[in-house]
Amino acid sequence: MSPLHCNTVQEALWERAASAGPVPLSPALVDHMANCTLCQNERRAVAELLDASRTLPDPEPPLEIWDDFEERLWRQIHGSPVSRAWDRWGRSLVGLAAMLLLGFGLGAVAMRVARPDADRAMTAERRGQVAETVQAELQNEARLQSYLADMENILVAYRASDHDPSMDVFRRSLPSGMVAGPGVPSEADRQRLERQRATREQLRSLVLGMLVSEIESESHGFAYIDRRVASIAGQQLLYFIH
Amino acid sequence: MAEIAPDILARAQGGDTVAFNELVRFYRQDLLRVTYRFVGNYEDARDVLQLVFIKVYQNIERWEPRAPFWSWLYRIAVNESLGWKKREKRRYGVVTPIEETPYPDAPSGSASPLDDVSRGEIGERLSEAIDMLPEMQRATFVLRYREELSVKETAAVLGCAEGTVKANGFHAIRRLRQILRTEEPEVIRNESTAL
Repeated sequence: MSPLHCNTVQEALWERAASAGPVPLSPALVDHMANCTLCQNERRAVAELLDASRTLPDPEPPLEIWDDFEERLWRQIHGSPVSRAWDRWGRSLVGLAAMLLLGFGLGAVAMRVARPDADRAMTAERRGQVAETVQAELQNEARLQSYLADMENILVAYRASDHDPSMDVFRRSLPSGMVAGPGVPSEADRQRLERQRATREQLRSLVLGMLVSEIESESHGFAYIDRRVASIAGQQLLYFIH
Repeated sequence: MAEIAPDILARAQGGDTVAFNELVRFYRQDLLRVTYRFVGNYEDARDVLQLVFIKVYQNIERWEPRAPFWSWLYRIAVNESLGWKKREKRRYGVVTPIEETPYPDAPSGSASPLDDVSRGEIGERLSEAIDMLPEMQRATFVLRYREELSVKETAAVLGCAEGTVKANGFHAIRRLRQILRTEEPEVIRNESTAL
C-alpha cells in the first residue's frame, strides 16, 4: 500500500469527477488504487453516481401539461404588475413623480420654516432630525421605503397645525409608518393627504416592481441578491433625485 | 439546447406576440425539463415555467447577443426554480440539513449503496439527495450532470467563473456521496456481510 491516505485519494477522485474533461490519474494515485479496495469502490461509486445522474430518465409529463398553457401565460402577462409598457415608460414616469414628491416635501419644509408657529421649535428640531436622516440615508444608498417614510413625516408635520380632540381619529386613519404632528389638518388638507397617500402607494408598488424586475434580470448569482437589492434600490433613488 | 431562428427572436424582441408564442412553443419542452429537475413535480414545474416566460417577456428587449439566448433562458429558469423552492421551504418548513463533516465515513469495503436497489429507487433517492444540496451546489450539479452542460456553459448560465463551477461540482459530489451513504446504512451493512 502506498503512503497516500484514502481521504486524499478520494478527494482527488471527486475533484477529477468535477473537472472540465478527463484528467489522467497521477502515478501515485494509480499505485494507491491498485492496492486499496476502499478507493477502488469509491471510484466506482462516483462513476455510478454521475452515470445515474446522466441516464436516469425523468417520468413523462402528463398529457394535458400544455392545455391552456399559452392562454394562461398571456392572462398572467396582461395581469402582471410590471407589464412591458410600464417597463418601457415606467422609469421616466416614476422619476418624474419622485421628483415632484421630493419638491413638494422640500417646499413644505421651506414653508414650515417661514411660519411663526408656537410649535416651531419642535418642528425645527424634527425637521433637523429628518433632514439628517434623509442625508444619511442618501449617502448610504438607503432603501426607498425609509426615504418615503421620512418624506411622509415631513408632510404630516407640516399639514397638522391645530390641536383638536379629533386628533386621535386622524392619527388612526394614517397608514403605519406615518407620524402625526401636534394637531389635525383641515378637511381639504386631509383629502389632499389621502390623495397623496394613494399616489405614494402606487409609486411605491411601481418602483418596487421595477426593482424586482431589474434585480432578476441583472443578478449574476443567487448569493448576491440581498446585496443587489440594497445597491439597486440606492442607485434608483439617487437617479430619481438627481 | 437548440437555438430559435434569429428572425423569430428579433420579432419577439420587437414586441411581436405571434413570434413570442412561437418562441414559447420552441423552448417550453426543454425548459419544462429544467424546472422539473429543480422542483420535482410537473404541476409546479409548469407553474414555474409560466413565471419564466413572464420574465422573458418582460425582459426580452434587454437580452444582448453576447451569450446564447438559450443560456439566458436557462438562467431565468434556474433562478425562478430556486426562488420557488425557497418560497416552498418557507411555507412548509425547512429541510433538515445534513451534518457537514470534513470527510464522509470511509466506505465499508463494499460496493456502492446504489448497487442493490432498483432503478426507480435510485432515481428517487438521487432526486432527494440532490434536493438536500445547498442552492449553488444543486444548481451546478443539475446543470452539469443532469442537463450535461459543460463547465463553461454552466458558468455562463450561473454567471460565475469556471473555477466556481468546478468547486461547487466537487462539493456537490462529495456531499452526495455522504448523503447516499448515511441514508442507506442497511444496504451497506448487508453488502458487507455478504462479502
